[in-house]
Amino acid sequence: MNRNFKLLGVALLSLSLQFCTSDDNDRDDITPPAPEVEKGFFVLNEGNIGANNASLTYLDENFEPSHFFYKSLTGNDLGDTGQSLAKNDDHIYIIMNHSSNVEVLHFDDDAEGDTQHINFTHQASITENILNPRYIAFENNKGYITNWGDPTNPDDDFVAVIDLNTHAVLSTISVAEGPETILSEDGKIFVAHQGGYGYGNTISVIDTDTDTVVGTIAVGDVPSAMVEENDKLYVLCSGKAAWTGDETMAGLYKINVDTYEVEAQKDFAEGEHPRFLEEESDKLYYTLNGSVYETIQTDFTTATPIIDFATDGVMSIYGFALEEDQIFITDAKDYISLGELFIYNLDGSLKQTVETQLLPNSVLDLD
Amino acid sequence: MKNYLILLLCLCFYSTTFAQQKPIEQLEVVYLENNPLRDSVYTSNQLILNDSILKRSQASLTQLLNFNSTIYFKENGLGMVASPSFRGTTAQQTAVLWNGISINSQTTGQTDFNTVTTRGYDKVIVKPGGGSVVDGSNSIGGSIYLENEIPYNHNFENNVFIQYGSFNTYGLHVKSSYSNKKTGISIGLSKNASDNDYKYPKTGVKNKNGHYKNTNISLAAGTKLNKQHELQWFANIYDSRRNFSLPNPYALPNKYYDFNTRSLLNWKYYKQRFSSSAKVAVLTDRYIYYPNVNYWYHSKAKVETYLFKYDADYRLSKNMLLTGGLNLTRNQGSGTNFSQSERHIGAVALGFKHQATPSFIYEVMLRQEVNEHFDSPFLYRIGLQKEFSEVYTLKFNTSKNYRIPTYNDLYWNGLGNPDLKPETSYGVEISNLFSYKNYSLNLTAYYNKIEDLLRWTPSASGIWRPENTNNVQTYGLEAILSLTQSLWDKHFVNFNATYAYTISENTETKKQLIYVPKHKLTWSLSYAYKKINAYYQYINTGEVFHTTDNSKYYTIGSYMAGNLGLEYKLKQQLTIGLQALNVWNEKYESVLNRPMPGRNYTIYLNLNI
Repeated sequence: MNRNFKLLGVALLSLSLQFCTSDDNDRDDITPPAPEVEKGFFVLNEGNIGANNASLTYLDENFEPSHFFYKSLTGNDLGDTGQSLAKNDDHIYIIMNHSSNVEVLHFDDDAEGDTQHINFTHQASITENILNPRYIAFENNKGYITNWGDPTNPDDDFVAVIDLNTHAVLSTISVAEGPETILSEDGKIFVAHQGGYGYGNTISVIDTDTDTVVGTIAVGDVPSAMVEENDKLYVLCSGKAAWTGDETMAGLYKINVDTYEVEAQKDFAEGEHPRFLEEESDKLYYTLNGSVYETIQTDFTTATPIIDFATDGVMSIYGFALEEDQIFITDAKDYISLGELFIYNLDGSLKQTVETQLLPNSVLDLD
Repeated sequence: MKNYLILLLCLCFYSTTFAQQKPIEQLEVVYLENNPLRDSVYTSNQLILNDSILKRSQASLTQLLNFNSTIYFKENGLGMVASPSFRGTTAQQTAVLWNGISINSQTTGQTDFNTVTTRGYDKVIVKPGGGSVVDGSNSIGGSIYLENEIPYNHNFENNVFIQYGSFNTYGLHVKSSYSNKKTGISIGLSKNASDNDYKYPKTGVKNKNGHYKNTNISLAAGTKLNKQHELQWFANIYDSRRNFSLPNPYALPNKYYDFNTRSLLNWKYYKQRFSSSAKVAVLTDRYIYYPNVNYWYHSKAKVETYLFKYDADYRLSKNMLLTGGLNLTRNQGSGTNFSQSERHIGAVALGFKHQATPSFIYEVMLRQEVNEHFDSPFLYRIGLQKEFSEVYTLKFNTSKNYRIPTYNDLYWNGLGNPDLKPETSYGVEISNLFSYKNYSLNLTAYYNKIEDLLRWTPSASGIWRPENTNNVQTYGLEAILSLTQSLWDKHFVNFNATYAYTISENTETKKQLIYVPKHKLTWSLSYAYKKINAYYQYINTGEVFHTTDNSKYYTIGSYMAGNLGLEYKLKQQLTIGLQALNVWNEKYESVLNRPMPGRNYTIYLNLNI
């Protein structure tokens, strides 16, 4: 009998255990208050697909990070899979790929005395007529957002046209598969068709008065990056990688934005697949096999490696930016740990590294 | 693009009681068992989950084992893709065997535990520790056996089990069997479906696109031709459609079909000191995945497996047994992501068991595999058992185990890596068994070193390929407790508990592997009095990291959940039951951004005719 009671005691004790266990470990608990923003940078941390853990990191002028800036500001999560960041006048646009939303922040510089304090407010969420958005460009008081639609469907890709005052989608322009990077020049919008599940090899030209496709420029396979300077469009085509079973050569193209003619072209060697492209004064910068290369816009037959970032410990280059004579390289590491931002001077010296959040892919200069 | 590739990879990698004669029998749901010398397991441990506990758990193997074993589960929302971590190992390092045949997916190497309906089986056995010598590839953390029993001498028996619950979840399970002294056949049909549109606790967000339905047909038949020959036939068909719930409201709705068939013929032969079993099996394993339900595009794969397995036992003397085995497997696969590929694996096994004294047994088993793609390691297991007293028994085991690369790893178009080596593991464990009357306690400590872990990792340019990466060491403690007690002759109480303390770390970085909690506790308590039976199942899982650097920002909090059930026996053959699942309405998830339902209810009827 005595033993029976002991047993019952064990059971009751176990029951009581259950009341002291629940551990609601939300990130809300550790989200810091929004920092004071002056000059500096935003880093978009893509997060893991399906995990809703994209975030925005603010870096002040000394690259001191404040993480989860968007959550601190709005109280909400950014969404699923951050794709790109852009700035236009007094707005910041955050393009969220997998959750198909575009978050718009408004900012105003109130220059009082010596400080350049910037106030941010959440202005709009664009979700209607957006599906798998990638990048945004601005022209004619309109925003142009490339969208893959259903990535497995090559026939439903489009560019959404946004009214920058109301943030409503005005229209959608059907385009070829895989519209990726987009930029405006000379009243026109250029869309690089990198490809979604397939592989693209064209640039579409959109007239911003009629919002229709008025031209198509043939380039190499997988146009993954574009920049413009002095009415010239520079397009980096990465080529198809070896694992596709149909490897193609990479190329760099210089295109006249009025005539759409290819004025110069560089073919890379077999097996070389450069990525990313930035311009500064009369130079172009791209990455290839763990190095940043520099070439000149007037003649890019030769290129010089200026940064050997692989030896500095960049495991998996995930983003590339050139701001204020500094090169920013984001490292996604193994994709399931905190990323890192590497900041270089243009002479190739490593200036600083900063720990970011998951999969940092874009850097935006707030200045 | 690379993100979608990762997503695709991830996706690919993808009650009541029988009318009891007397309550005490029904209460004996979990027990530790020592099999007789003839069986392959002797010096290791087993946790057996039999019919009554199967009926009281939800129909998926995930729910059954999550609440009743030390195995940790990652479940992508209720009913969605679920994978185990057994003793801190990866999803592919748990072997699932159906009537002795491995059914881990050839494409992903793992079993999606939500595609196994427990209603199709008579018992489920959990065997912790490396078992590749007997169970073949993948048995590094442990093995799960799904067993069907062939009835003999039971005449007609029929069982109907109907259940209905929240979110329009229903289950219909019918099992009929007929047997006489020489021949028996048992056929089971199980259908489960749910709208699965639960609201996430606290946030109130609805689980969109999570509906599923599945059908399982099982068969077990046997005939004893004479005293020496017995023929057995086992078959199973599983057909399922699931829509995977959306991780965010604007994601494209998708759907996933599984279709598996298994058929196994077994010829058993006994003659004096000799016994043998010759098995021939054909398995098909097929999936089709539509990333967008509204579009034709899909990816798919199909692997057929042909298997021949021969095992023989020869009793050298009254207390010495020699065993030998031969396995031949042919896999033939084709799919969207790999071209037609075939592989052959052969294995020879040899074992010796000796009951040296009445209280001391040891066994040695060796296995050598052969195949055309990579060097197969030589595997072994050495086990011993010493019974010090009626109350205390000590067991010791050491083994070398392995896991072969999957079809995806080897043959994925352009990305597969034909130079992969198998993962190998060296394990050692010590178990202390205490038993007294109807109480038993098993305390086990183990250490496992896993080399050449197979992983898909990104290259510097962001291309993901499978590679043999780092080494991992796992170690920990397991405790399994079972108590059964009758009080004042009319009240019956049964208490079972499992606890696991698990360290699983990358030997280079010393960081805990993602999705491995350090603590997991389960317990269940049932109480029977006359026609009433009440039970409570409880789980408590510790915090897990989901980044490899164990960042404090990226953890999933610990959670607890409890299920409460009440049964009433209306008639001798008819029982009605009610369950409140997640009765404390806990907000929890086991995979990031995949919340599980809050409190919900189920009602069931169990009829035996």
